[in-house]
Amino acid sequence: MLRKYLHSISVILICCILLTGCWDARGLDELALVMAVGIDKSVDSDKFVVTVQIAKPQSQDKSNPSSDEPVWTASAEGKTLFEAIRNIAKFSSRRVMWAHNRIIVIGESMAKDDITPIIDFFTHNPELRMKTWVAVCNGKAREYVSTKTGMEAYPALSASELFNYYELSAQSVRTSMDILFRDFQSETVQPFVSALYLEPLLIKQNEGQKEKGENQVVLEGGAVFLRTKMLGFTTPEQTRGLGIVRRNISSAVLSVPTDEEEEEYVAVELNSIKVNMDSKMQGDLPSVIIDVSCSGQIVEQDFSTDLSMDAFKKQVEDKTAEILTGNIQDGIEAVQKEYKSDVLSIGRLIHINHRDLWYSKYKSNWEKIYPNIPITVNTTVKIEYSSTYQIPMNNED
Amino acid sequence: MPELISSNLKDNENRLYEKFAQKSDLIIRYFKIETLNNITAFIAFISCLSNGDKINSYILHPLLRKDFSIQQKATDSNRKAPDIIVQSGLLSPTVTLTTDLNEACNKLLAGDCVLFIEDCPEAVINSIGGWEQRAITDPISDVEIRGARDGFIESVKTNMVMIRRRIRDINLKFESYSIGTRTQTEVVVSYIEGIVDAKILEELKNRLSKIDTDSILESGYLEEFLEDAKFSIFPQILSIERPDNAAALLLEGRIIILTDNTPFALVVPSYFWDSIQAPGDYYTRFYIGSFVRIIRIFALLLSIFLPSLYVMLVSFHHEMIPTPLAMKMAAGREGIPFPAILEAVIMEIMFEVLREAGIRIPKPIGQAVSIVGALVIGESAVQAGIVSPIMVIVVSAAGICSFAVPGYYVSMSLRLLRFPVLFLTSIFGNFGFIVATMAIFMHLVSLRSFGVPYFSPYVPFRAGDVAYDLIIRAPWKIMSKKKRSKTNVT
Repeated sequence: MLRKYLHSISVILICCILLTGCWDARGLDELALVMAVGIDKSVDSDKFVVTVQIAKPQSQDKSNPSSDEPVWTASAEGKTLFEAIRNIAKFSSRRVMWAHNRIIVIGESMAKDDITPIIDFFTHNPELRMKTWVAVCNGKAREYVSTKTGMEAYPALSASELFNYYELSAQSVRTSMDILFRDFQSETVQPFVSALYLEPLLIKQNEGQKEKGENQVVLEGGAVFLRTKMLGFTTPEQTRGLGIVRRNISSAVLSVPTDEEEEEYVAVELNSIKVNMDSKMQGDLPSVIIDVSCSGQIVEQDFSTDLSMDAFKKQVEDKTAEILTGNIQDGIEAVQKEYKSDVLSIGRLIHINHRDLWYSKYKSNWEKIYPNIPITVNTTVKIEYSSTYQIPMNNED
Repeated sequence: MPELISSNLKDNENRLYEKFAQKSDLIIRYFKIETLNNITAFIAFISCLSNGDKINSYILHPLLRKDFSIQQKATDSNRKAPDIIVQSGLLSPTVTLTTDLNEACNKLLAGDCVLFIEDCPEAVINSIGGWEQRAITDPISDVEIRGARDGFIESVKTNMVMIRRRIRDINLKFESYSIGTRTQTEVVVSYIEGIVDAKILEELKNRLSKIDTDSILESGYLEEFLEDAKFSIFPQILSIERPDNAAALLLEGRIIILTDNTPFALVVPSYFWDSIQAPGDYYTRFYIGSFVRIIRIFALLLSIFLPSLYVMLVSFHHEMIPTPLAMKMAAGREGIPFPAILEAVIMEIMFEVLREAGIRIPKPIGQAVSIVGALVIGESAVQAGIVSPIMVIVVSAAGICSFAVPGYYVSMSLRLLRFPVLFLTSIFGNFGFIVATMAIFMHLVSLRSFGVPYFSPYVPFRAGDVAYDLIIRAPWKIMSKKKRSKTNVT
């Protein structure tokens, strides 16, 4: 009976030992769970500075509530990223574990220098996930990682949750490691990464009178890269335009002025923004047409109007389209003329549409051709209905 | 080796006393049958095993009454005395004649009353056994909210009655065997002819005849003798305590083996899925019946795998846990002096001890112990920081899950399996977990109960049975057509 299965049992047991790469048990309580990591380049010493925010799980013992901070933030230096991370072990009592890392913050100095080491390290390490959010911050990443921000128990969780709600304001894009990696590797697209700011927004209860609150991490704007280097940030409006064209933003809320003199606004919520890009040859240069179409609704209207509904809708549609086109054109202006970085994958479009020309003419000196390509933006907005079905408040009297 | 009954009454008496030792519970009463040529006779019976009232009214009273009708036939000298007595003297409903003293002794031991007559080499056996027996009560291990309230009891005769009452079909057969050289336990095989698979019945009879033991005190003895894979951890023969369940299974074409002196009947063949099906499923509405089955499968899986899953996640695959949960788990593990596996084993063992103690403890103090046990193990261990709170949840959840499985002995087996899975997982992580799971399923699908695959109808797959009466309990209107096919495929 047993002999019959002896072969299969022994094969299974041998497989058990041989096939597992690393099977050593490590208790959850022996690990330092990294929640956020910030990477800076120190200018004077040319070393990497890695700042990690490590969760310190709170004991559930209610009778003895510990007043400790929920996180332990530390930073270490090294000539390479790997060395810097290993250097954390010099003073950390637990082994650093990356699997729960939520966000990678790249310091401005680091981004402007070269992000290759980051891409290399964070895509090769098996513990790290490619779905980790990546953002470039204004200033030192160290400050962002060590700031207590948001409502969650761990600041990194709060920061990473911002990426789930970026579309509400539609003034930023979201990038995870796999998107950054994809754009980084691509010949025809340049990386466009979310940007973080610190703004004094938090009001402490007993310090309500103070002029400025405490710093909070804000997700706003974007960082334009050209190959391995960051060139600069875009404004929130430019980012909205670029995000729409990059198909990263598909809904937005806009305040649309209907009458600029009296500063009367309606709030328009745009849904299912669709982008269609096409190119045509015009003489020597290709020209690009970006068609943006979206539907929306009026969600707020705080003034009265004499216009009929149809006329009013038409007016709002036109104005909204104008603003949206403006945002997109602003964004294109910035990346095409100022930074000369092809974050909108115009190159890929040309590659697909005019394959032969791309290989014979454009590919080799695309960076010189790109800034001169004419780009037209057509926006159509359709206000489907007004969610303010009732007469606006001010109309009632 | 038959031992012939002597014609000499005294000789028979002496031999009986010899066999039963002088001062035993054997009682011999002499009397003369005046109506039948004043012939001398005695009845032998064992006090308490035989019903005294019945002896009086069925045997002594008719034979000793002077005006009894045998008188007329006594003159008919061609006929032998026992025949006359059997035909017109005794009132007992079951009467047999024997010439073998050993058989007479066996019948005495079974509670029968034996009549010996002067100058006659035959004895008359009156089956009037009637001893004290427990009243029919609720089945203890097989409780249902809705359903019959009677359970099998220790008397095989009563149990047969309970089944017979439910199936009034002449095709319902009872075949009696006595097994155990010393105990001579009555084992009754019951089945419905025409529905039962003849091959399985043949195999069962064959296996019964091969049992070589001196005693069968409980159907558990029988179960082990009959099983296909004797060293398997899974019971391949279901034991049931409910006559309504027995009747339902008989109607499915199974064979029920009733054993004297135990309220547990055996079911042949049995399937793994019997352990998640309870008779109550068929009595409640089919939505509820199906829902509880799904819950039971869930509970069954959790009861084996939950502790291992937890240990696996905590000590190997931290990246598999969602971050907020990982934080909670880590918080619970903070400051616990044992590795997760040791913690799990300690808790599991304590749980098993509690469960076992719960059975043994006399009822009045049982409650106190269970409260103390729960408090000590749950609350205090967590407070003292010896075990993590999540481990307490995991172990108790797994424990409760194992009680949600209707087949108590299947769930016991599964509880045992928990330990090897736990150990393999704690050494090899997910890999060990999967290997252990595969090994369990490989074993399950290779098992057979009387030639029928244990894991059927799922493996081998029979769509009809899986769809109508495995996890989903189909409405009776649909199922009654389909259900009968269950054992017909081997």
